Amino acid sequence: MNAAFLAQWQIYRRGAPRAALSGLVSGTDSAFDADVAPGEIRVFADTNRPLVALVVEDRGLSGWRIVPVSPFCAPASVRELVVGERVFQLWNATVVSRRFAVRGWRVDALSADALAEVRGGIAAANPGRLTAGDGVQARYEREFLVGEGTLVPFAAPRAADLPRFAWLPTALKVAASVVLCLAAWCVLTMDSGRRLVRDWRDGFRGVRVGREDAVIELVDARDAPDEPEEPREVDIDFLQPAASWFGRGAGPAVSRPPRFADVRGPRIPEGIAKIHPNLAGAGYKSPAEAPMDVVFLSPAAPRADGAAPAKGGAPSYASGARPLAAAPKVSCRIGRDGLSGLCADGVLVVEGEAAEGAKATVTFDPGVIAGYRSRGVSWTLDGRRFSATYALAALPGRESEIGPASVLVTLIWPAKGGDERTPLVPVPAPSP
Amino acid sequence: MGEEFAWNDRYAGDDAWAEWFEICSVAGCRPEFAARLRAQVASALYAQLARAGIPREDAGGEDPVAFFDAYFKLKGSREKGKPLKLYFAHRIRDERLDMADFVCGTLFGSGSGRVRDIVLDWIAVLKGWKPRTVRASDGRRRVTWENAGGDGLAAVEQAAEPGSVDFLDEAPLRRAADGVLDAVARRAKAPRASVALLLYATSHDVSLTEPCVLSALGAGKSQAYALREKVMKALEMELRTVESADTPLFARLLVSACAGALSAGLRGELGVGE
Repeated sequence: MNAAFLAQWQIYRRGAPRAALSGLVSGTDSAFDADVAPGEIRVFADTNRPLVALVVEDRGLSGWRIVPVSPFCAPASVRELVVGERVFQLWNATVVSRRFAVRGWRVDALSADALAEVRGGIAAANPGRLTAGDGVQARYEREFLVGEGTLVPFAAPRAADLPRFAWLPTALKVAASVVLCLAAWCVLTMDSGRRLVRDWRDGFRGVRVGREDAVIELVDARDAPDEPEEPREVDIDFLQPAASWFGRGAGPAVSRPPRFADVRGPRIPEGIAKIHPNLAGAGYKSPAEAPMDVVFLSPAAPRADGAAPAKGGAPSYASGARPLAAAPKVSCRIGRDGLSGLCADGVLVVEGEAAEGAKATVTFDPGVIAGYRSRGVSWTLDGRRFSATYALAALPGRESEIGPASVLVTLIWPAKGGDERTPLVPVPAPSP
Repeated sequence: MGEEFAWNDRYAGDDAWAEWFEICSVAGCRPEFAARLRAQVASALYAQLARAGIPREDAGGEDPVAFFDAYFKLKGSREKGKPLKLYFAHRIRDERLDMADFVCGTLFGSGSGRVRDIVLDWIAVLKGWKPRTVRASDGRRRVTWENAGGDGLAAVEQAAEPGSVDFLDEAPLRRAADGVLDAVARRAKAPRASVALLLYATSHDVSLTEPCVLSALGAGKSQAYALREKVMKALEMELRTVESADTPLFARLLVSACAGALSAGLRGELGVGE
């Protein structure tokens, strides 16, 4: 190796690492020396470091063949040629695009003889091939080898090749993480942040609607971009307990209590449905919405003492009822829908003997029973014996759980000291 | 001395260039770079002197760094725009770089023989010689010195080195380049020859509207551009799996593989060399 080159190489290597020479995407224009001709030595605009090269040959559409000029003043090997004041890297000869070549400035020009000398030496220098190993020669050639065409690399440079900025991506990630953590901390600790979280959490609300709007959907109360004003919280008394309206603007006007949703009853066999079309599922109430039903144990009948008659299903039944001396005799039974024709998962029958003014409340476990409907109350001719029947629809898969634990029957009757209640009318387990 | 030449300085009054002259001279260089630049300048100048056959002692009490600075400031600008300055100006404007980014970049990297220019001038000052380049009997060009007499003539010799060079084994990289070409063709669902042509044309900035390109692709302009878009995306994906994909050597081999996949006629029309 040439001693002069080695001395300069050592000086060069003392400096900070530099990115490899590569092409850049054409940016702004300048006053380029546009006319390119063989024999010219040019410095090119679209490289990250100054690239000075001799234009050797016109390659048509592919561009111009060039031989880069070494930045050192002495040749590194026999694959470099000293001509005049410059050292030409014959091993680094390449073809650059026409546009790349045009975007540069003329530095100097070689004579025809000198150009021929350079041309003649290129083939023997094996252009594009690098010296093997890890010696000075190999490192020098790896450092100064240029690509081809526009010299813009196909692949993005790897971090290891950018020692000056290798830390930048990591630093950016760390900084972004810190900023995000700080922002999250601020949001969660500030009052507005808590409100933001609460609004987000409460923004999803289950809404049960009437039959004609029979679509149950989740409404995101935050999605109201058309109304820019601040969200307001308005209490609306649908029923007790009160529901809250979260949303933009005033809540909807309420002129009537909401209707209970219908519950789909058990599937009715086609044969039975043909015979009894009125069985087709309507009339079931959800025990979650209507947890209790009231059964009046005596029919409404005119009374001689002037007390207000009890009207079946009307809440004014006891306004004039006389006190009863004894508790009504009531029994319950629950069973499967066998031959009843109700097409229910279960059947509750409440029957017994009671004087006027007594009533029973029937409560169902909404965790087991999806819906219930009254099949009516019948009385005997004397007005004392009665029988009430309920069709029960179970939640899917819980039909076998309909039993005493899922039904509660309470008796209430007027007495001298006020209403008396029995806590429970036992419901016997269904017979297998 | 600077004022003496200021009248013909085409950059006179240009603050950016005034700053450039300051920071690119050793005396005006920023402290963090000054020591490095001083060492580079002194070593390079002494090395050039030695190559010219002039020992360091002959420089006497002359300070190479002072000479460098004086030369730089005096001859740094001329009536005619200097290409390297134009390059720096372009890059500074294009990338909004700081002028200080080019400190020490002038000395190494310009490739325009600045140090050599300076040394030749320095020798002329020291010795009163005049450098001249002549062609020797063996055909090589040498620098000779007029007024130097027969002794002390120095010639710039070609490096003496054994003829045989142990080259890097390129076979694995060539296989990888071929593999990338095949994989891109599969991924883009395009013929290998079309993919090779598109990659070659893109790397060499050859317009896709060239008749020979469209003819070889067998497609219209819009189809050609759409296919190139697809091919370049596929290439980007494939290169992520190749270890040395971002090196100039791999780029050359990939372009070489592309050129090899072109038909002889198309290679001739595009000007692809052997």
